[in-house]
Amino acid sequence: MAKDSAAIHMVVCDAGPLIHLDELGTLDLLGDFQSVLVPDAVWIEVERHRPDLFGRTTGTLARIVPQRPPAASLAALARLMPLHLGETQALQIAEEHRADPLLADDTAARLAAKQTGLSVHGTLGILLRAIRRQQREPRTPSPRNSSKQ
Amino acid sequence: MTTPIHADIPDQLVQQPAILIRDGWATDLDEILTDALRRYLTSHSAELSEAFIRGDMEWGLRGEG
Repeated sequence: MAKDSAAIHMVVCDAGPLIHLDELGTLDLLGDFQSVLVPDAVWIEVERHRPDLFGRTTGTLARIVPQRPPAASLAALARLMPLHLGETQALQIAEEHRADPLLADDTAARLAAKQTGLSVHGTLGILLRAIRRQQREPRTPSPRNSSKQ
Repeated sequence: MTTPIHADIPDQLVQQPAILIRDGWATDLDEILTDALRRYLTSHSAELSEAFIRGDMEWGLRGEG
């Protein structure tokens, strides 16, 4: 996928967008980010649900192991929301690497990201962004499909 | 009005509230469980989900980068 100066340089991805994009056959859209950091706990979680996902991705995804425990404030937030280990690592790595945005679908994780000052977007945003960046065509449901709804 | 519930909770998880109750931070386990459930529902509310969907639409359609 073509890179350009307007592209987002580095994002951190939680399990939700990875799994949902793969389910939709649109995992390639992550290739539009110059670097996608996947926390170690997220990587393990995704492998449990989609064992062959990482085997089908190109070099875009980078597995990251946190080098230290989360800050006390993040640990407290993780207990309060509550957040899973992968979500906590995603927040920690996004802060440490100044990645922007964090890609997550879980409501609690997104709320925690907002509270820590991180911008956060989910699968829906990634799909719509792909249309804006002309990587996908918008599709209007045909009358036949519409009548089924 | 209240509804009684039965829940299987790990022993270690029950021990921690017991310390809070002993130290006066909560009246009893009922109060702690009610507060925990309320907090969970707040952080997973439909209104919050809708706000995030709108945020995704704005970023996806009109964002930068």
